[in-house]
Amino acid sequence: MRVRIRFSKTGPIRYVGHLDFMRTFQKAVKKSGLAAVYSAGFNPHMLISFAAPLGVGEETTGDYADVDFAYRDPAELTEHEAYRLTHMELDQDTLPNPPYSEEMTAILSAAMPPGVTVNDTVRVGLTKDSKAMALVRNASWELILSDEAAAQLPAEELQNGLEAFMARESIIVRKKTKKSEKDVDIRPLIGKLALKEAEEDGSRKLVVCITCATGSMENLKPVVILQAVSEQLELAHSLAEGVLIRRTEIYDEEMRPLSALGTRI
Amino acid sequence: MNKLALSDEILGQVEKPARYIGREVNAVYKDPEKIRVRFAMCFPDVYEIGMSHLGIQIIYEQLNRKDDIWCERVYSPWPDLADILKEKKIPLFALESQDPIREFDFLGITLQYELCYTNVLQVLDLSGIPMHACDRTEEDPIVVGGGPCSYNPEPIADFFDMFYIGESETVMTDLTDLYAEMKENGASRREFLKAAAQIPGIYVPQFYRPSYHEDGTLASFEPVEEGVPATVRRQICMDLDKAPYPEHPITPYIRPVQDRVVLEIQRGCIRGCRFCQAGIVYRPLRERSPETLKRYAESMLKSTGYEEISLSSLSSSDYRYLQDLLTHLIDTYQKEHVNISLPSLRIDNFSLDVMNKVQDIRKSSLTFAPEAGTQRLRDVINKGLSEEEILGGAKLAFQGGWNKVKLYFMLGLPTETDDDRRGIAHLAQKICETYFDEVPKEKRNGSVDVTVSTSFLVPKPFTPFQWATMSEPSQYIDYAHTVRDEVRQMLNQKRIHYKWHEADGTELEGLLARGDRKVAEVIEYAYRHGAIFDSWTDYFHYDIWKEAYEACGMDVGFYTRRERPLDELFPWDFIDVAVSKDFLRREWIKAVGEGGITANCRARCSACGARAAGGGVCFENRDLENAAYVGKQSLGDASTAQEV
Repeated sequence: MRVRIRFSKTGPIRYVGHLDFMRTFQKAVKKSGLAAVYSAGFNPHMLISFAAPLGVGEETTGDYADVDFAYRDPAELTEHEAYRLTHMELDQDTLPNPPYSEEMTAILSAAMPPGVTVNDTVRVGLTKDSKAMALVRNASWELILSDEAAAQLPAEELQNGLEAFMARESIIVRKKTKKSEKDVDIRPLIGKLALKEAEEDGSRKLVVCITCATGSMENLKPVVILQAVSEQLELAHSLAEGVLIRRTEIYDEEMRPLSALGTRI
Repeated sequence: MNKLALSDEILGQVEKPARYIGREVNAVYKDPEKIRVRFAMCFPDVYEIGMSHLGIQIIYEQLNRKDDIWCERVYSPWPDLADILKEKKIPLFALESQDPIREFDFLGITLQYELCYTNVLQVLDLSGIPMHACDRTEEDPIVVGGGPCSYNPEPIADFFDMFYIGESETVMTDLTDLYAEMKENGASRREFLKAAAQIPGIYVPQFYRPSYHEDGTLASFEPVEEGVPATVRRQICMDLDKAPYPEHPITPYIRPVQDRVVLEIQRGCIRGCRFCQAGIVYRPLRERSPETLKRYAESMLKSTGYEEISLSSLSSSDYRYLQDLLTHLIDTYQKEHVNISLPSLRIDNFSLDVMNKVQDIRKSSLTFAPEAGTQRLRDVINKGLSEEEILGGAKLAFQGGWNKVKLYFMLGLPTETDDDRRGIAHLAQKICETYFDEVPKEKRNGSVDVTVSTSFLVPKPFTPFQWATMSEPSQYIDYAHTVRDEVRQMLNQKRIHYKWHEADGTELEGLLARGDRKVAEVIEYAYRHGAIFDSWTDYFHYDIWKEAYEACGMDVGFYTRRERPLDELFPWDFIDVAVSKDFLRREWIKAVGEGGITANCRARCSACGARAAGGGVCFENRDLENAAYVGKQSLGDASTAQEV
């Protein structure tokens, strides 16, 4: 049975890079004592995949990992799913029943390192195209501005600036790839751009809320938007300086959170 | 708990910022208000190296078991961060509390290899602790060194308040308890050092003075303070089953060099290779019981989520319960997808059978360490491994499906000639021939692949080779070239890959290993002129050290190439490691003179002196007889054991 794990990662552990975080996450699953499935072959490894990598230093309150467990799948299996199960040498009839979602969430959460919490676990399909990684299209973000960056202009002016930004028909930015540079219109990749004030770490902060394209099809780093806004407002210092980046949710094509695509156990 | 010493800006610009944040799984956090002694334990190298060290995890466990002590960790910052710390004047901090090191009561530094000495100075420097012990004030932590290099602490004696000679499981908490009590009674730093020097195993360098002959050799080494012992005795933990062990080891986020659960199955070694310091200074061999180890394996795997477990010891094949332990580990954990990794074992049917079960033959290679290319030279170093055994092991391995073999050798050994060096190539060739003879063409899975690696001998204190002379730096590369050229003459030269270590670090290591207090000046000069991470090839700049020799008027050859008379007083002779200097001398004379090998401890006791420790291999199967012996002799006196 494939389980989609929704988790948050906040505080100092945000400085653990993606590859190291994956290894850490895997150790936690192992530590939890839940029956993870291992791949066949000479180098058996846990079948675990993450929806989308986070940059070093970035937080999340809504990321996803899919893990295959050796539990009886409560759902009716499609032919393809049944085939996959056989391929993994698992027999649906002899597998133990899975723990309930609440229980699994609590067990996994307790095994996680400081700063990582598991918020939810849902059952998802076993096919390739139902993997979190394949479904990712959008993500929402909170960009918590540093006091220095925010002090450059009154909040209303920034608010107006964001509105003017969204009113533009196209926003061309220069995008560097490994090989070359090219101009890209990022406007179609932005779904939402708003400003709010929020309590962060005991003080009031300005937070830019963004929803934009994420994933293998189209991908836009939210900090690029902040950079472009800063240029439009002709600010001396970029709003991105000292910003804390936090992903809050990952969505599919139809803007459904990835956990909504599964069923609770 | 979310406090960080470094700003987001700094963490955002350094490589691998997770090195500096602490908070790993199983890291220990305490309320500083309830703590009497704060101890910062340092491995003076980068995080990934330091986190792989079992010793620190043992000390961490041992100290943190006590409610009134908080032991934290600190490692050398990578050069990118070190530059920032210096520029922004940010003091070096401990990983857990992120508090500056200078605020701690103790800074413990483990000295695992000589080439870390400049890193030690950097740790002090970045912490804002005066480099010289004599300049420290009541505000500074007590800087204590330990580990293998503390068996000759003299080159770095000026930088340490004290050295802990021996195993932490013995008097470490006596030391911290004494400190807590004296600190609360308002004692001064000097009063504490004076009292600490009375604890067996604690060496406080400032209470001792060396005097030198005109030729620069040591004339005397005496305590200058009343009540300070003339001899410092290594502290040995006799019952490892009762000793603290990290059953919940810290699990790093970033991949350490040793990325697995480590089970120390035994300490010490029965073999007595004459170049090996560990083989002497950890005597006598002491085993952990398989029951204890099985329990540790369970709790360590459960508490970390590791998928690999490795057995650690100097010579695992000598562990008497190996079969029992390995069978248990394989039966219990293989189905849970836990790999069992085996350190170099003697190759026999049993070990091959085990390796067959736990490793992927296609990828793994088998390692032999003959150390010398000819039987004559292997006898000189007392490596109890004959050519028949090596070829026999290779034959078994090839029949079992392996076709990759690694061979380790040393160059620059006493009495070594070009014939011995060429012998390395010949041995590699014979291993190739064994493959072609033993594996029929149709069964070959690719061809045989022999990798030969050589390193250069650095004579170490407390080994029979402590009297040995080293070669000129330029000669070392000639030695390697002799091997290389001979490999090229071999029939199967294409199947033999030869790698050798650079020679530059060898001379420096030789100087630091057998140096005296006069060497400190060179280390400090080199550090102040940019030497750092000397054990890293990319960072090692021998030019800086050569400049330091020049500036300090240092004759390196005095320490490395001078022939030492048999009766010379060595700077480290004030330490009693349990093995006597007489035994080492006998072994040296045997090695370079009359010849012949010395039996291992289980085959026959050679009266090295370690028996006086009162346990371990010296008393195996002879418990009654030995109990009577110990009763008659004065327990701590190593010299009496000579008479047996």
